[in-house]
Amino acid sequence: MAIADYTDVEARQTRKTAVSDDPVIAAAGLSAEGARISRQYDLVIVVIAFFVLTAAYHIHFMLLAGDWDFWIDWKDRQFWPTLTPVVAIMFPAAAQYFLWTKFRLPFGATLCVLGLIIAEWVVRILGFHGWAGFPFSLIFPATMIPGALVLDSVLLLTRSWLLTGIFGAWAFGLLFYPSNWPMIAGFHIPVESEGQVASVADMVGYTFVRSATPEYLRFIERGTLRTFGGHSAYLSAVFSAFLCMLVYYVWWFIGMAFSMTPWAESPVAKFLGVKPKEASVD
Amino acid sequence: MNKTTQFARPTSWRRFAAFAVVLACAAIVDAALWSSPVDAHGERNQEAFLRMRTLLWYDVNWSTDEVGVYDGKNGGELVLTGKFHVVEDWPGNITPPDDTAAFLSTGGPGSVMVKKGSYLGGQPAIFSSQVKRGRDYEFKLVMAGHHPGKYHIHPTLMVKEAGPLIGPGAWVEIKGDNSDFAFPMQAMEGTQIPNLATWQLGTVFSWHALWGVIAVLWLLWWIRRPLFIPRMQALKNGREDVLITKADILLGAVLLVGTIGIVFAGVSWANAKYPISVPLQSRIMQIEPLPLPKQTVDVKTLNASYDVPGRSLKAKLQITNNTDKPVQLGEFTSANVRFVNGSVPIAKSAVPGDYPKDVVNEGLHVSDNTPIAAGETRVVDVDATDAAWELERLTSLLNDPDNSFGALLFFYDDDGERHISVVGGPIVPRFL
Amino acid sequence: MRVFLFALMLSALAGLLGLEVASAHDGVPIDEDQCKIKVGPFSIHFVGYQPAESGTKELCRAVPTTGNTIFVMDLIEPALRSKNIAVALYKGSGEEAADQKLSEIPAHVYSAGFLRLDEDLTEEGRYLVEVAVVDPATGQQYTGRMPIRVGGLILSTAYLLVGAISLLIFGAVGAYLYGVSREKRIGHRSGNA
Repeated sequence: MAIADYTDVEARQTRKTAVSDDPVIAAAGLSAEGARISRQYDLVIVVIAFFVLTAAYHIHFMLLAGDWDFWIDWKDRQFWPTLTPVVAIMFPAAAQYFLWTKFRLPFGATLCVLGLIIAEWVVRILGFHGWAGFPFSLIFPATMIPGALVLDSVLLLTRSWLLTGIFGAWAFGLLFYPSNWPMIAGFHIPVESEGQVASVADMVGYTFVRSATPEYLRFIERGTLRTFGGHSAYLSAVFSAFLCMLVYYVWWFIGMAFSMTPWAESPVAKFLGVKPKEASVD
Repeated sequence: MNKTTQFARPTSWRRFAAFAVVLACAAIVDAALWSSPVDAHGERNQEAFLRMRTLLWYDVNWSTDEVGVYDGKNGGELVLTGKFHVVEDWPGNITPPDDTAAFLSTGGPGSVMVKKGSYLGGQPAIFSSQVKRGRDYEFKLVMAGHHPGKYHIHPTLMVKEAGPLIGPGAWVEIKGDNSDFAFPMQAMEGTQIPNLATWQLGTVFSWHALWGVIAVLWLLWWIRRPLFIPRMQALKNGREDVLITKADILLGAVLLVGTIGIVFAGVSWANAKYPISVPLQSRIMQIEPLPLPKQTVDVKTLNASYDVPGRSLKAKLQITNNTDKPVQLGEFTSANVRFVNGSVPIAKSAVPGDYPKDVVNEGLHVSDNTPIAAGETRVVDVDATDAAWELERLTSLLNDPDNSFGALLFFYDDDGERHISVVGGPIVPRFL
Repeated sequence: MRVFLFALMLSALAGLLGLEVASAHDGVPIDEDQCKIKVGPFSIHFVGYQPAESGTKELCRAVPTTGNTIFVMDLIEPALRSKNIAVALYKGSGEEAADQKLSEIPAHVYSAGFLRLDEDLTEEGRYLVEVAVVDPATGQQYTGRMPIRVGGLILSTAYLLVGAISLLIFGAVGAYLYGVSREKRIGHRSGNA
């Protein structure tokens, strides 16, 4: 039976089934049986979507911002706070498009980022710590959840992708360093080692040997923009915020492209001699 | 419009054709996966010309072959000392080390040992430094045990754009219990760090848990209600008012303000707890090489060949003794393999009894082994013969893009003083 | 039909895997080197050279042609360097080879860690290299054998693979065309109700 059988008001009435109390179900015009089946779909889809989004987003994030996220002695004041939010906002923007425009669900960013953080912890615990033996002080991941919550709530409150891109994405970039500072502050107290000053983070990276990962490999604290009185972190956060705005819009439209459902005839089916007896049109 | 589609079954020959194509693709993928070379793990994997002509390690000594798991006080240390020569005839395929960065560490599986200290040219080597071609450097690594087990520990110098250059390795056993590990440290403003491995973990886990819980609650707020089909249909019917209710908007506002508030509260808390902070440090240090020797034995390689089935490197050398005492050639060392001249007692005794046996042998022979007088120039035929050439994969030299070798020669005089010379040059494979 | 095709697919994959295992030693690093003689608890790396024919190319059990051949055996474990090692070359394989000893090197200690056997292999066919290791202290003896084949068709894995894949693709094209021509002949598609 096709979907029309469930949403056809007359068909429903003739079957004499009661309408659910939930206003959304009522607004949708679903019967109780329809509501029950759609609920089953909901749960199956949420589970699948969570894993699929997490897998794709995790690979994307690891490839682009992984180095800075993996190690405590890569979390600097320039590359880490600039790169991470810009890379991290991409999938949430696309997910927000799909979930908001089709369903008015404002949890796209949180769903993506929560999945990412969970996946990262699994990898850290089983891989980095369990298999390779690195201590958690060296390998804990950063959090982007506060930025994601703000991005979602701005979309909900403004109901506008344009305003979300301006204020929400801007906040996503800006909030990254402060929301992680409580976790890394204790790693930036100075330590003296053999007449040299280092941060605790540097010492953690030095002490726990990583094969073929020399100190000079770290892409940290490089570049100009040094005339701002040593306040590199604030500058990077603002720079990151503006980049996030741009990236948000680009990925909003990527989300749009991936949400299309065009119909095309399959050349493989044609080769195999498969022809639908009657085409189904939706 | 309503009927579901029914697909006709394809012809059996077409199906067979499709299967065969799929099979062929599987075979191609299978072949690609299987025929890609599996890199041999370990030190023998690096090309021979790199191992012979980048760094030549010598005088490497492991203070012990057994340590316990370090707990801040007990467990012992492994002190790894030695020297390396940076070959003047550095391979042209890789960037010379002179203007790049170099970092001293160990080679071996990840974090099995922890580094308590490291020194290059006598200076602490927490950060990177630079080395120059043609000079010798002294190194020292102080390691402690972290994960119990038996591991092959090598000193390694990582040179930017050249890669890890690995020295000889010896087996070290770490005994004890992993759970006893602790690495205490004191910060400059007085904070005591009981264990670097678990520092701040309470804070880290708490903040991650807090945000995780809030995120889950936000998701559950929506997931507990009808999600996809009903909402999509309701939206199509124009009923956006039931999709976003007043309660939703209120929660959204609370979430927005609350999140920003918690973030700022966290920052204030952290700044109050740790008012002094220093950014990540990174520098390139200038280190002192070992002083150049005052007296040298100069060696010129007239020709060199490798006798393939004879497992022997044969070279004709012109040796000029510019020291003031007669000398004898005692050792030829290259790519961490030591060929000792068995008929020079001083050379034999220069090898510590516990030196790894698989990389030292008495395969060095000199055609005229009598001492070379001070001021004398002599041409000798030297051969370094041992299965080590094959077992250490140094004969892959013949497949390298640059068929040249490099080695150190140790000359000894009667008083036991040693003079080190560098040899090298093109090498030709032969069947003799 | 489906069962037959599935079985065909599985056997093809199994065959490909088997070929990989049987591939000749070809400059493979010593760590996963297949060309070893097991002599009791010890391993000895085995290499053949035919300088006049193929220069420095390393051969294993398959020697392409007759001619001057140098076999070199590298002792992998350092403990072997203090043991007495004897090596002999026989013509033939299995039990019959015992009567046809071509050459031998009596027991000797190889402190340099390798031994060398030169032989002019004049005939194609099967040969056998036998290595005996004796511990002088305990008298314990171990023996290991390496069968050699000289001449004949040497099936390189790569060529076999290319051949198999080509066969499959041509087979596919042929089957498709046959199916099309058969359709034309009988007037309708087969296999369809």
